[in-house]
Amino acid sequence: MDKYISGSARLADIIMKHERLLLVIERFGIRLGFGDRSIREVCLANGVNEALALAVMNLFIRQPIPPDIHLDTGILSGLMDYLRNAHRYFLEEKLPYISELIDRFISHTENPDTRLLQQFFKGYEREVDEHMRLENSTVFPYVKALLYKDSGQPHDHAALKYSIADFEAHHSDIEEKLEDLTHLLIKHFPPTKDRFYRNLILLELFELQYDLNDHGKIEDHILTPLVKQLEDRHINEK
Amino acid sequence: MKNRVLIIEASDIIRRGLKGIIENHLHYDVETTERAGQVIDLHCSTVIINPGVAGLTEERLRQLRIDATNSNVRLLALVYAYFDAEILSTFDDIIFINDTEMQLVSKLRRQPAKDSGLPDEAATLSERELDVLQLVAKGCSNKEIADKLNISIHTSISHRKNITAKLGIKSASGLTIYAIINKLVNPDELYNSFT
Repeated sequence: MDKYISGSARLADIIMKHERLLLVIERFGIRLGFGDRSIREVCLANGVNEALALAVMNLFIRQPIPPDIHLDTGILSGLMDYLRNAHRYFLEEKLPYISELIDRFISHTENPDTRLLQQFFKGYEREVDEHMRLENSTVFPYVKALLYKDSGQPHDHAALKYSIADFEAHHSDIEEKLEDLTHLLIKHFPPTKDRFYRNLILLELFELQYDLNDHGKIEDHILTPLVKQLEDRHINEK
Repeated sequence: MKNRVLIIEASDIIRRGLKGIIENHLHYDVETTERAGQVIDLHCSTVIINPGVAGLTEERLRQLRIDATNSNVRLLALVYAYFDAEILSTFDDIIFINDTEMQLVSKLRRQPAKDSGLPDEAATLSERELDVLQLVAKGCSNKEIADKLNISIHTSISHRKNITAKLGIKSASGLTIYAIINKLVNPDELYNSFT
């Protein structure tokens, strides 16, 4: 079993071992080409909160957050930058890429029914877009206002008319349709002339499912509890 | 390849009735003939044959079975008289003259391995589940499905759950795609099915 990742580990070694962390460091704004530097050094050089980076990385490799890491509300601003970057990646890079693969699949098969997949996927894209846009436009401004208020700075009062409990209640499952799509491609669509793109789409869908699952966990297990702490501090003033 | 069905049956009424149902529900090409000629054209996916039809000896039936297997053609018996169990066991399935339309359609929908490469999941859905699936594809809510099929909402939800468990598809739009590719619904009848 994997041991958890600590700040003294060399980032390059960790990436070699857990290649999915490439996605994570990209979202923290860490560019490749960091030589043999440790996670701590790379975080310092890039202005990334080390505790936050370690929490996310360990969550991605399904390890508990290391006991020496203390997460406080100070990481929230960095966490929101990370989540925004992840949203951008999903909406502007990953989903359009899969959509393009589906187009290629369609043009390489002789089965007109495959066009239904693109319609289905476009519907899914709209669903994810709505979901993530809502977080960007409602949840994050709310947390930002709370943080400003917490540090005694002027803040957006309108944005404070929200609660993380609303978020928890409406944090919907955006993986359901992805699973449907994998089932359709694996089991239900008859064999197609093209196999290359069909497989590629599936590999991308599995990867995306994994990624979205981890993304949701970060929101539910790191973001939400910290925002609750922040809310509790101001509970009487609301 | 479009599915083709060959019906070999002496009664004109029964031939026409079967042809009509199959064309309406499945949009397959259907050819009919009244007797088993010297050569039975196996350029089709399914042969429906009355074992009592003129020209079909036991010897010829054995040969037909072998040819059908080799050409990946399904051989269905059309039965409305008594036949020896051994003869009936030669066939992939049996169509009875008192089958409902849905029973007939579901027997026909089971594809030969050549065509899909996969066992047809629809075959494992019950008739009621097929009804529910068709209505889901047509955009009906659980309440509407319950009303149309004269069942409770609870039952309609439970059918829907079973369909999802069998097919691995949860969303209505995903189920619609499944219904279209398995020709359970005609895409022209659908509107606004993708959200």
